[in-house]
Amino acid sequence: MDSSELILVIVVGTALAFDFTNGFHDTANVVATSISTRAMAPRIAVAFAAVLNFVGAFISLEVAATVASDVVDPEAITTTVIFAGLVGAICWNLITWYFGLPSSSSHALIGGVVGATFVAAGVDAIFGDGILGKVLIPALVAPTVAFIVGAIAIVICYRIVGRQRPGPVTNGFRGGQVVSGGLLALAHGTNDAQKTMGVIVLALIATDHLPASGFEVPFWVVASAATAIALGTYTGGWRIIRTMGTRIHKMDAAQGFSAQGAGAAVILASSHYGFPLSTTQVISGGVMGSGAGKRLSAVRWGVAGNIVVAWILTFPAAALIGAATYGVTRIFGTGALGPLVVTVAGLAILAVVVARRLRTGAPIPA
Amino acid sequence: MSALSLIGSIVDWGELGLTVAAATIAGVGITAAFSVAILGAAQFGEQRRQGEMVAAAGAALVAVVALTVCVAGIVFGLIVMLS
Repeated sequence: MDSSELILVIVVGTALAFDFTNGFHDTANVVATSISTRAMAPRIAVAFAAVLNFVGAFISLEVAATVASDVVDPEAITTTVIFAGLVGAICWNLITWYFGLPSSSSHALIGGVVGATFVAAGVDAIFGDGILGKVLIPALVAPTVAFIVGAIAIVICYRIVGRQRPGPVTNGFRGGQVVSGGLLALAHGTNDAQKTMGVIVLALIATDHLPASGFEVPFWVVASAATAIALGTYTGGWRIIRTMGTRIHKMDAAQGFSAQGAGAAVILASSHYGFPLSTTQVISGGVMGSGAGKRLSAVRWGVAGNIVVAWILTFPAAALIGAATYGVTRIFGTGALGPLVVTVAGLAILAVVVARRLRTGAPIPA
Repeated sequence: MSALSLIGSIVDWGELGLTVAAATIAGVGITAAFSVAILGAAQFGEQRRQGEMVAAAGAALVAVVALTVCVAGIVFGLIVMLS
C-alpha cells in the first residue's frame, strides 16, 4: 500500500467516523420531541429514526462532490485538507454533544475544511462570499423562520383544538409526530449521508480511483455511509435529546407536533426552492417558537442562549481545529505519516477515555 | 462597495423570499390542517355519542379532507426528497 492509498483509507475511515457523529448528534432533531411528549418510547424512537436514516441514504444519490467547493478553491482541496476538515468537524460535534448543545454538522464540516484550506493554501483560496451565502445567511434565516413558523403554528393549533377533550387531541398529535418524525428521519438520511458520500467521492477522485466527471458512486460508499449514520442515530445523542426535548421548555403533544411538523415543512420547502437550511437549526428554532407561542416565559432563554452561542461558534471553532490539525500533519511532511499520527493519537485518547470510564464503573455516555 | 450591496450581490433575495414564504405557508398550513383533522375526529366521536348522525358525518368529512391535505403534504415532501 503506497502513501496515497494509506491516506485514502484514513480519509474514508475518518469520513465514516464523522458520519457516525453526525448521526448521533442529530438524533435529537428527529426524536427529541416525540420522546418528550411520549409519542414513542425512547429506544423505539431511535431505532425507528435509525432505520429511516438508513433508507434515506439510498433514496437519492445526487452526491455532493462539491462539498465546500463554493467556499474554498477546489484546486486547494487535497486528501490531507479533507482529513483535517473532518477532524475539525468531528471534534466540534463531540464538544457540542458533551455540553448537550444542538449545532449544525454541515457548518462544522465546512468550517473544518475552510480552516485546513487556509493553512494549506492561504487566504486567497477562501471564498468569503461563499461563506456568507452558504453558512452565515442560512444560519440567520433557518432558526428565525422556524421560530416564527413554530410560534404561529402553535397559536393556530391551540385556537382550533383548544376546547376539545385533551385525551383524543393528545393521542392525535402523538400519532402525527410519528409521521412527521419519520419524514424528518428520511430527509436527514438523504441529506446528511450524502455529505459523507461526497467527501469519500472527493477523496476517490483526488487519488485517481474515480474520474472527475461521469462517475457512478460505488455501492460500498453508499452502503457504508448509510450504515454509519444509522448506527450513529441508533446510539442516540441522549444529552442533546434531553436539551431539545425538555430543557428548552416542557412541551405538550401539540407543541411537539408544531415544532416537528413545521420543521419538516420548512426543511422540505427550503430544499425545494434550492436554499437548503440546517435541520438542527430549523428544529431548534421550531421548538423555541412552539414554546414562545404559548407563553414567552415558558422558554428557558438561558438554554436557548447557550444554543445560539454554539451556533455562532461552530464555524470558527471547527475552522480553528481543522487548521491546527492540518498544521500538525504538515510537521510530518506531505505524505500519510501526519494523518496517521493524528488518527492514532485520536484513537488513543478515545481508548483512554473509555478505559477510565470502564475502570471507574461509570456508564459510557451517549 | 457597501456591506448591504455586497450581501445583495451574493444572496438571491428572490429565492430567499420564495423559500421563506413557502416554508411559512407549508409549516403553518400542515399544522393547521392536522389540527382541523383532529378537531373533526374529536367532533365526530362527540356527535356520534349524542346520536346526531348528520353532524357526525359532517365532522368526519372535515377530518377526512384535512387529513387528505396532510397526506398530500407528505407526498409532496417525498417528491422533493426524490427530486
